[in-house]
Formats: sequence, C-alpha cells, structure tokens
Amino acid sequence: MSSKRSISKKVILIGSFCVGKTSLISSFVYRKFPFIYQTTLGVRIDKKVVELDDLNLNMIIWDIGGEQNQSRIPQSYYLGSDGVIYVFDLTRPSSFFNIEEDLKYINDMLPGVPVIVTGNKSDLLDEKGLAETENILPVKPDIYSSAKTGKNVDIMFDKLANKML
Amino acid sequence: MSESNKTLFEQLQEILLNEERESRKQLKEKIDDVKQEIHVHKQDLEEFKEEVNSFQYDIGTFKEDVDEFQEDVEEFKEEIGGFKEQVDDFRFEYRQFQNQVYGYQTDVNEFKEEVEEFKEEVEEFQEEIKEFKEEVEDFKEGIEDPNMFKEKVQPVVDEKIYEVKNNFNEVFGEEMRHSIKLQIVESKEDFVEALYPLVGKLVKSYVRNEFEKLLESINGRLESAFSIRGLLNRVKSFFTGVRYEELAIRNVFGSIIEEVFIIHRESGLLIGNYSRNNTADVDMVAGMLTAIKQFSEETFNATPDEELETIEYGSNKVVIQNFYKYYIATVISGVIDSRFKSRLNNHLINFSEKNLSKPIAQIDSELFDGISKKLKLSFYEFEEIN
Ligand SMILES: Nc1nc2c(ncn2[C@@H]2O[C@H](COP(=O)(O)OP(=O)(O)OP(=O)(O)O)[C@@H](O)[C@H]2O)c(=O)[nH]1
Ligand SMILES: [Mg+2]
Repeated sequence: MSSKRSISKKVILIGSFCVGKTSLISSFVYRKFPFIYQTTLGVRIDKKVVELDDLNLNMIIWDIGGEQNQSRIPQSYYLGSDGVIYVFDLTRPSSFFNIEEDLKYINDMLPGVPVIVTGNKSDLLDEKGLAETENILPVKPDIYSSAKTGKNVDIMFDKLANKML
Repeated sequence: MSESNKTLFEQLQEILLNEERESRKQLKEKIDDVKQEIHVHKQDLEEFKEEVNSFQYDIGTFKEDVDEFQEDVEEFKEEIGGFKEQVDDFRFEYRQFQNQVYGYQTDVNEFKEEVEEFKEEVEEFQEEIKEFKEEVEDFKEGIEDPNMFKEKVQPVVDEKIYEVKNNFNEVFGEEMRHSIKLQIVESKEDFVEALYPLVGKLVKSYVRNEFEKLLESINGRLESAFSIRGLLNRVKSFFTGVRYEELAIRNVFGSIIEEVFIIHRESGLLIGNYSRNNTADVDMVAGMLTAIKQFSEETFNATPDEELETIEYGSNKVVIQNFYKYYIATVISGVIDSRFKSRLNNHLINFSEKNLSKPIAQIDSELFDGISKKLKLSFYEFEEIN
C-alpha cells in the first residue's frame, strides 16, 4: 500500500430488492458478478480503497438489503453516510415507481449528502428499450449501469468519490 | 217726299240714321260674334273646368294612392322590423348553434385523443402480451431445465416472502390478535414464561448469526495466536521464574484484550484500533459491529442508557462503552469478572479524556494512526498491570 494520506468515507447502497446492489458492489470490489440471487439480509459491509491523485479514499460500503419502502430500513443505517447510491432495476417498474418519495426521504435523512441514482441492468435493454423506459422514469438517473458487464460501475463509484471530497 | 224735297238735315239725319242702323247691325253682329266666342270660351272653360275637376279627381286618387302606398310602406317597414328581429333571433340561434358545434368539436377532439391514447394503450398492451408470451416461452424453457428454473423462481419467491412478511399483519393480524388476547387472558403466567425466553432467543440468534462470521475469523486468529502466546509464555517464564504451565492456566482463566476498536457512532467508521493479532479487515469489523449495535438498539427501542453493552460469544465477549460521538468496543477472551470490567471502563474513560476530547472533523489516516498508536501504548500499560 502506498503511504499516501487516506480518508475514510461511508457509502450506502439502497434501493428495492433484487435490483443489483450486491452485484454492483461485487463487480466494483471483487470484479465478480454473482449470477445466483441471494437476497441480502440486513446489511453487508465491504471496503474498497480508491486511489486518487493525492490521496486514497477508504470507502466503507454498506450494502443494505432491499425493502419495498426505504422507511422500513433502520434509520441509523443511514446515519453518518457520506454518499448514497440509489439503485433501481431498469426492467422492473416497481423498483422505480417510488423513486421520488425515496429520494425525498433520503434527502430529509441526509441533507446535503451526494446521491447518485443509477438505473441498473442496462445490459438487458437495447437502445429502443432504454428510450422507452426513459419515457416512464419519474426521475432521470445520473447513470445507467450493468453489474453484469461492468459497464459504468467504476465510473459511478468514482463520480461519487469526487462528489464526497 | 222726293229726295230733292228732303231737307239736308233730314238727309243728314237719314244718313245718320242709316249709318247708325248699319253700325247697330254691325255691332249686333259683332256682339253675336263675341257672344258666340264667349260661348265657345265658356265651353272651353267648362271643358277646362271639367279637366281641372278630373285632374283634381286624379290628384285625389293619386293622393289616396300615395296614402295607400305610404301605408304599404309603413306595413312593409313593420314587416322589415319583424324580419330584422327574426334575423337577430336567427343570428343568436346561429351563434348558439355554432358554440354547440365548437363544443362538439372539442368533445370530438378529446374523444379522438382518448381513442388515440386508448389505441396506444392497446398497442402497449399488445406489446406487453407479446413480451409476456416471450417470457412464458422462456419460462417454459426454464422449467425444463431445473437449474434455470430455480434461478428464475428465486426472485419471485423472495418477492412473495417480502409481501407476506409485510402484509402479515393485515392478513392474519385480526385472528392472531384475537387468539393471543384470549390466551393472554386465560394463562397470563404461562404466556409470559413462554414468551420471555423466546424473545431472548430471537435477539441472541440474530446477534449470533451476525457474529458467526466475525467469530470464525477471530477464532482462526486466536488459534494461531495461542501458539504464539505459548511461545511468549515460555519466554516470560524463563525471565520471571513462574512455571510455563501456570502462566498458561492464568491465560486460560484470566482475561485477554484481543482487540480494541474506537468507532464513530453514526457512520461506523474506524477512528482507532489496537489489535493483538493484526486483524486484516478491521474497517469492515467496525462497520459490522456498528450495524449490529444500531440494529439491536433500534429494534428494541433503546434509550441512551439502554444501549447495547456486551455481546457474548463462546468464551469471548465484546464490551461496548458508549461515548457521545463514538464508542469503544473491546474484544476480550477468557473470563471477565466485574473488577476487570470496571478497571477496563475506567481505563477507557481516562484514555478518551486524554486523547479524544477534540471534536472529530475528518476520519483520515493521520487521526487513525495517531490514536491507534496511543491506544496500543495504553493497552500495553493496561495488560502490564493486569
Ligand atoms: N442482467 C443483469 N442482471 C443483474 C445485474 N445486476 C444484478 N443482476 C441480477 O439480479 C439479481 C439480484 O441481484 P442482487 O445484486 O442480489 O440484488 P440486490 O439489490 O442486492 O438485492 P437485495 O439484496 O435483495 O436487496 C441477481 O440474480 C443478479 O444476477 C445486471 O446489471 N444485469
Ligand atoms: Mg443484496
């Protein structure tokens, strides 16, 4: 490990169940994509050191098991978060119909904390399908990702890293 | 008398007379002429008069005609007036009609839009049916391959489990409440007795589950540490003269500080760490500890002085000491008596007063290294006295 100064930050991934939170983290941290769905019970914690120009960012990533509604999650899991990744599944409308309500809840809970909204499983849609889905999304996401192909996964975490500093 | 015998006078007179006669005759003729003429004139006049009369008559009738005409004009004017009213009415009706037509047109347009939307929906629906058909095809294929079937069905089953979990109260709540209430009333004592250990067990099993992974890794480390400690004991006994077996027993029955974590309360970020065995993933352990702590405190609605204090597993204990912005978790192996615990508490309070009284702005390597170093020194001291 380099002897650069490092800063620790807490990042939480939230969103409905089965949208790919665990898969995104797995892709980012372990470069692996788990094909079999195992729902996350409670919370799982991972860590990744992101090397930036003048310092290392020690990202402690909380993978919070998905619930239909964000308010079901213990409030204290949100506390002290420096960044949020809100994940929904582009192919499952029920995973993004609550998005506005959820984002408001997050913002009330964590005012001023950067939030990145990602539409995941983009590999399952072609251009036309993506355009059609975009039309019914209540909120325009910051990024479209795929844990399966790794598309935009690093970019997404980097983007959040920069917003947190 | 002969001419010759007539006096002159007489003659003259005669002439005169003749003349007068003649002239009278002439005059008479003249008068007659005039008379005649007058008569003619009179006749003309009469005719003229007649003409005037008839003219007057004509004028009279003409006037009548004019009057009639005027009347006609008047009537006509009236008729025109009525007609104008009718035109106005008609115009008004026409406007109204136009408005209605506009209204209808708007309705028609709306209706057209609705039809259009409906058409789109139908198309979407068709599309969905198509997709659904495809999915059913896929699904059919999936069913034939048991592995794929499992993978496909898993999320649905999980979703259902969530649903049942979330709506359990709505679906079964009333019945449950009723029967539970009855039971409570009938056998209050039994019920409390039955429930008490169950609640305890639930909490324990959750905590135990969450700790199993932690336990595994720590146990692994303990095994290796034990042998190192054995070596150390041999060295120690060599210097102190105390027998190695004695030291080993002391270690088994005494308490050993395995790890100390200073953790930010809200974020679970690690502020400082002392680890006897150089644990690798201390950051993640800190997060896990925090999640467990937060979960149990929130689930059982702890007030600040009811916060989680110890977590026990096997012969190890995690003692938690809460401070305002952070908490300190100490992993201890061996037996802990109350004397040891209070000594540890005092030690931690002293340490925090000395080294952690400044507010923490940022958790970075500088802070972490500084505090960890002091923590290590302070625990060497602590163990020494122990
Ligand atoms: N095709 C595709 N599948 C994905 C992608 N990301 C995740 N999946 C699949 O979706 C399922 C759910 O993924 P997880 O990462 O477990 O979902 P999660 O959000 O962590 O779910 P919970 O833990 O229940 O909240 C798994 O079967 C993954 O293989 C993706 O980008 N593309
Ligand atoms: Mg998960």
